[in-house]
Amino acid sequence: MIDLINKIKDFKLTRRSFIGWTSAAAATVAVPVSRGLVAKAEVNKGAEATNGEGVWKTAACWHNCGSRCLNKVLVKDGVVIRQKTDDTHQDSPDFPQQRGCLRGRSQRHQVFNADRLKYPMKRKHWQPGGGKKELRGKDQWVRISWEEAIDHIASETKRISSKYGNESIWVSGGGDIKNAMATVGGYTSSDGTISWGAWLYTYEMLGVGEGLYVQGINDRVDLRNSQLIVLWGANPAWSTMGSATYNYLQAKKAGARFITIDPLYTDSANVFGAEWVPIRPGTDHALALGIMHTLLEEDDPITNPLVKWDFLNKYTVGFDADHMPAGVDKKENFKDYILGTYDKQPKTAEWASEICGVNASTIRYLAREIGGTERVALLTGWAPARINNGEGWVQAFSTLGMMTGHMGSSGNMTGVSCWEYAGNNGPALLTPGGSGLPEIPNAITNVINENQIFDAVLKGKYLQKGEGERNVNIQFIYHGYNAVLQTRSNIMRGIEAHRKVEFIVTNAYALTTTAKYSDIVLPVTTEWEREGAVREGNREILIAWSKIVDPLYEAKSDQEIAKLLIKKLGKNPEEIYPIDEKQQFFNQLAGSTVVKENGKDFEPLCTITAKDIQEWGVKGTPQQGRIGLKEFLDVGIYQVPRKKGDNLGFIAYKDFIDDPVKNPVSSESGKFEIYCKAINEASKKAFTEIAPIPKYEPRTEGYESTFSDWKKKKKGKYPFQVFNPHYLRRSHSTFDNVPQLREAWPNPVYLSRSDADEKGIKTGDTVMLSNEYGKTLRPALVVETLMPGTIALPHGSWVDLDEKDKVDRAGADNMLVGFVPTGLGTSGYNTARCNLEKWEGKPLEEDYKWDQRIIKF
Amino acid sequence: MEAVKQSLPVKDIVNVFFAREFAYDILRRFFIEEPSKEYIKEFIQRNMIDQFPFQDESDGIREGVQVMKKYLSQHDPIHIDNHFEDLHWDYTRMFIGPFEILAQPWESVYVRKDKLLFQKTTMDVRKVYEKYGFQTADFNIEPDDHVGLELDFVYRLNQLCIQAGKSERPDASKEINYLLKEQQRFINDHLLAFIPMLAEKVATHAETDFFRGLAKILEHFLQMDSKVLQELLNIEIIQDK
Repeated sequence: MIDLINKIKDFKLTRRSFIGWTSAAAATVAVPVSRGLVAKAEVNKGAEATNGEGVWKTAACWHNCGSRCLNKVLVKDGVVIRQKTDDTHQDSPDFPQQRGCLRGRSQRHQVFNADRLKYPMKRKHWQPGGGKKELRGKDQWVRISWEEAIDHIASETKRISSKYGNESIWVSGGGDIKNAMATVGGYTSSDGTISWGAWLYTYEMLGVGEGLYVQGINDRVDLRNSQLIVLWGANPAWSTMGSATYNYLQAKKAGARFITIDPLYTDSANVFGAEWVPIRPGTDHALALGIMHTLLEEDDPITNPLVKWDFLNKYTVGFDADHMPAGVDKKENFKDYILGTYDKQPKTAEWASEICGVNASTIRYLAREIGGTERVALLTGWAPARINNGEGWVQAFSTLGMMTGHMGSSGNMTGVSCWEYAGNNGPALLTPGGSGLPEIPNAITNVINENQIFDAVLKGKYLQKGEGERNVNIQFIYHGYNAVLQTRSNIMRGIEAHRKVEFIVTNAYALTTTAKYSDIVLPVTTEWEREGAVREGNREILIAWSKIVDPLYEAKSDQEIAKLLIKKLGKNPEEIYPIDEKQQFFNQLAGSTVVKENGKDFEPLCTITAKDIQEWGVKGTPQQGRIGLKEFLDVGIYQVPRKKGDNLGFIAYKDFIDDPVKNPVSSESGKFEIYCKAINEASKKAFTEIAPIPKYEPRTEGYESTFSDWKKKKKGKYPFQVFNPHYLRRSHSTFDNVPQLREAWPNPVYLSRSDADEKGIKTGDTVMLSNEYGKTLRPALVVETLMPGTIALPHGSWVDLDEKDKVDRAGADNMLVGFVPTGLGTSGYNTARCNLEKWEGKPLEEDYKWDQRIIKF
Repeated sequence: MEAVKQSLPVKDIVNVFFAREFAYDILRRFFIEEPSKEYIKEFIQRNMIDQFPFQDESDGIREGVQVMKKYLSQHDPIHIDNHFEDLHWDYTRMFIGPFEILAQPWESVYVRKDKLLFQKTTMDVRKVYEKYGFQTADFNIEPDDHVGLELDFVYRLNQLCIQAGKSERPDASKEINYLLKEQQRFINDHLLAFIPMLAEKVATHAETDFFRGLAKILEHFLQMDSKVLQELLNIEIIQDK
């Protein structure tokens, strides 16, 4: 205890101090404090908390995870205290609940995380023109006002565009910043095959579906008619959370057998009790050719009809010499390539085995199973096509389905099964309305392939697809929302590019890798802080989410930021955004439609009254729909129930199969093109030439490149293949900053038992993966369930680079993925190779214990 | 025999309030935002650090003062731009970001298992502010449980005590007594629930002795102030005649 009484009584002491204290107070009272408490505007003194249970609201779960689920939050006294998922109706196979996953249920931890980017901030040494550009990523930062931030961005936009032209402005991602730049002369954009891999640039020419825009497999109710389901590089249990795995389980219950072809024995394989065929990444094409060779070898139209000749003859072009398009060399047909008639190399099971690592006997077994089973679903994810030189795989996989006739009828399907439509293709049964905003055209035609983008920044030239080389002088990078530096190939090269240009701005709600290497960062709101939106998911649902909390910190929406910038640039934001975000949300609701029972016609989803419109304070006209507007918003979801024999089923390509002349597919010939002239022609104006038929070629940085001498099988400098499974703790790079997800999914690197034993590596040891592009560390997880010679490094971890030794601690996949534009410009994330060694430095601690974003100065 | 409760007149007690006003003003200003040149100038030129109260009673405060004085003897942030910018950056990097926030300035981060902001902890603090007619100037921009705001709140309740002491209202001593209780509760329930941990983080991560010393002062001053409030509550406050 202090003797306060005496202290107070001690006049001398008190007197001396008293004068100092009070005179200091008097002098400093004039020095402003810009933050602090103020008198509350509306007097609400001593108000007690509102009691009650709180309100459940439908909250956004908006990420690019490949699913769409119902996310609900309990809001009480303005605080989100709990989350739940779909319990709007009883769960059944025909009418399943749309249940969220661990990431969606951690959404609170993202929105209210202490690591939110809270204020506009400027890199301290940044000056117009760059200012110590080499310090990007390690400079000090200063909090600035919105006004100052927008001033800088507008004046640099003007300076850089007048000095170097608008071509010098690269806007990554899409959205509102593109609108802003389009109003003042345009911008260079970038483009890539991202998730799709080789499907994206080929499907139209081949006449098949790529799984999202064009649907290539049957609906989930019909999937129950398949006898054999082959999951080829597809792992819905990890990559398509939500109801997809449940759809497959119904097929399993109905009697389907499962085979998975994958480098990793996946959780899906486990759940479905699948037979596992381990394969090397990037070699699926060789396996498909080996299977097709066996089919030809063993086919007998009478005693063993494995090949569906009628299907090939009627619906495809280029399979054999008798069905070649006019004007091309008939020797270039696919059948003679398989048999090795002219190149003297039959693509036998043994030939394929050497490349893909699947035993020849297993390859023959697969051929007999796929060719000899009546109803087969040949389903692939996009992953096997996310490889260098991947276009031929798409064509080979599709050809296998055509050759075995597993297309266009009940229980038979061949195509992509992933993303929101995994195991359940077909036209959407509900469609959201448009927001009503105009499209803003871009006056600049530059489109840089993502495999070249960092090189284009550094070297000043790139290949404009379909045209040829163009010069470009990028001096201003604006990352509207993409984490490009994290999620595109070759991070080290990307950092170099980011330290070259004069100006970089990023909008973000946490310090993403792109934000970290920027000059100015602007805090954006999450979807929970915005008006709301209507979103589609799988074909049976529409979800409407509403605003949960007011914008946190100084965050603004992307549109608000774009408007401020447009205004500062001297243009009128009203022309770009004639309606506000609330009206946009209303338009989406009012324009939403739902299919009628006949499966053909659509009607408005929401009934909207004049009173609704008045309450919303928007423009609109009353309409009659399926359910009331308020009810839709309260429930947050409208789902069309399915049942066997309803009018809502879907058989992919059925129209074409029924009448190929009247309903041609999208290819030049209108048939499925096993010989595709268009691909060959397009490739001549792209990166490397692609044969018109799916000929196997060693992939750049693929399996063959792990050898210094392929013939003698002598391994080279980078003897291991590394691929990047999508990992459940994050959606690409999103969510990787959430500690509880880090704890649940610790993000090790998966090593096969035989490789680990050879290197003396045990589970928990820190290992380094390295190649000429970069080095990265991870704790090892040694498993029996991985193809030997192959390393699985989960996709999307936030790079954590030590600037001294250039080693990334976080296991960022793109430290190892080079950028080698091949074919039509497909991004080859799953073709990379590396060396593996035990890390002799300080071992890694589990990353959930790390501070969020660790940078040492 | 029951101890006789000691008594003091309001005007004497007000002296303690001035000491607290002086201390809380320094602390709230340095923890609520980046240091400003204007205030640093006053702080140094008036030698305010030497006058920090309760140095004789608390080793911790005295040590903190020495650490700050050491900094001030070697640096001149008034005249040397680099010195000022380093102070400014030290605040930014520890409390704002945009890199990992080294010493999170919010109570929520320390007292909640989920470490999330704008949750019940923030709202509980908001309700206490509302009771006295305050809200944060940056409403919903800065979580209410930011250390600088919590210090500002105690500063303001102390000012209400000073006003009451000067008011000569008949019920002033009652009002003061109530306000003291409220401050003590707030300090114990909120500030002291996380300041020791926050101070440790600042001690680990600060690059300047200025903030290292300041964090030490903060922690020990709050502990001392809680005791001071307890003693004041044990004293009968006599209305001035």
